Amino acid sequence: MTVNRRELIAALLLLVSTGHAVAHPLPNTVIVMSRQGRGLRMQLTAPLHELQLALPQHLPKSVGTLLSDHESDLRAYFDAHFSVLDQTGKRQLQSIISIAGRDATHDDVGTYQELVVDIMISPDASFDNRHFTLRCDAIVHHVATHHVSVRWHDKPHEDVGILAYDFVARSVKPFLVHGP
Amino acid sequence: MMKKPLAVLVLLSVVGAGGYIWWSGQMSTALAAYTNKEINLGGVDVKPAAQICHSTAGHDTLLCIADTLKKSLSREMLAKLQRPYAVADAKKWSNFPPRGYGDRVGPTLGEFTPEQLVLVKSLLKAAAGIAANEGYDEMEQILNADEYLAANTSDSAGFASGNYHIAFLGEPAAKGTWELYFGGHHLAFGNTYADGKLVGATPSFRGVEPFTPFQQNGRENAPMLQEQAAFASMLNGLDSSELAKAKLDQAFTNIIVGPQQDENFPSLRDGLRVGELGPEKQALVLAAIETYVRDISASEADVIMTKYKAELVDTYIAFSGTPGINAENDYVRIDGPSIWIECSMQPGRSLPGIHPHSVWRDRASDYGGNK
Repeated sequence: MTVNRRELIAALLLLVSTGHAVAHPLPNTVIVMSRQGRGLRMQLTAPLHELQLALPQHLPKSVGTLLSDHESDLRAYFDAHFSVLDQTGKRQLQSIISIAGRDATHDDVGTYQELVVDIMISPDASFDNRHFTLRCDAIVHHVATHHVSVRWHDKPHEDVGILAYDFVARSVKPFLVHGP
Repeated sequence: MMKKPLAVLVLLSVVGAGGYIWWSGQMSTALAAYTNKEINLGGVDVKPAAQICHSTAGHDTLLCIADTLKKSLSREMLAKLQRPYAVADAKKWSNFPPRGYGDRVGPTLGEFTPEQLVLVKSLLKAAAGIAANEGYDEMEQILNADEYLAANTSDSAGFASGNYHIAFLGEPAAKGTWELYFGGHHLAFGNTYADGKLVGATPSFRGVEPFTPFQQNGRENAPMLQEQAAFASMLNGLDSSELAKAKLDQAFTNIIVGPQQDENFPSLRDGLRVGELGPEKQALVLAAIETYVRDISASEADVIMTKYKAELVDTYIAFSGTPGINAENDYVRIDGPSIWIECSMQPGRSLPGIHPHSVWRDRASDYGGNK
């Protein structure tokens, strides 16, 4: 029994590592989704270094200054580059609950700073929070090699979707979420 | 039943790759091969191999050395080195050191005896050519960089010249298809031969950290400065309107047709058409191209350069960041009907400063044209 469990863990780690190995060496953005009643809560975590490349040039580089003096600019940026649509294509009401900076570590880049954006989706009555469209081109609209991993809260290491720049379509395609 | 293992999974993911290697050792015999042994290929005397195969030339030399090497191996090592031809194996390359990518095929250099390493080095020299700071010489310096990282960092990524893999994908022979596969951290070399002729020298990945000159194994090493200088000359030779055309709207923090991204070529060519440039500026584009094409033997490189010269007017050059290609997030691309070269200057991973990741591909002949 012990051997089986260790093999299971090793296999899972191998899967995690393989996905990581073929991916970008720099940290990417992650959106973790969770259902809140009829609505949704989305936690978007973005590496600050790459976000700074995509933000308007006039904004400062320091995360402290960004948060203290330019939070409204950050809110406007994420409102412009993130949205949830129902199955008819109608954008749902969203509110950014909080934006905070924090340190993070990654095997391939060491310590870096990231921004955590908490977004609440307060949908229309007809909204189905298992079947909807997620649009997010934050950072990716400018940093073409960046991507956004989409995960459910109860499976934090499993990508259910990737939002990436499509070099054939020359755009970031939306992700159709079909939840369990 | 699933809760405990998953909790451990989360914990180990945080702890990092050291844990990964320990656990996956239960599952993967491949990772056991990494011994972090230093080889110092520069100190290996290749005269014995030259004496054995002195009467051969071109592809026949490769066959002679490959055959001599195979005859010297144990049954176990031979089985690891000589594999059936499979493009799926050819695609198993990466910029990562062993900790980040464990799917490479073939034995590592650390598994060969000193006598066998003579033959391995001779084979690489014959296939990659002996142009200064290119081809084999560039490979040796990239391996030296791994030894430098091992000696000067506490990283457990598996940096060591002994951790580079070599394999024969397909039987080296005058008839049929085979690939000489060699690679490891920051290096992927894959020459594909069909019926005795080189039919593909790509994908060919090169990167190095440290990027600036460093001393290792009794020599100065700077294997990618030549590439960076050629890109900078190419872009700095442009006037302001040409430079504006070549400038990409987006930023690139990595290459886009990298490992396991074989189909990621953009649908349209961006940047400045080389056909709009005068002969002197076109020559600078060719000089940049040569820093990659000269990573194979001279006669084979000449054939490929002839093709790229013929396609030059319909080739595009593009960049983002600064035209010096010497700052973090600087990126440059050469995109033609066949050729694809891109280079991305990335932040230092193990040391301060920047380091390049770059790839030479050919839209028609990657993996010898095999899909």
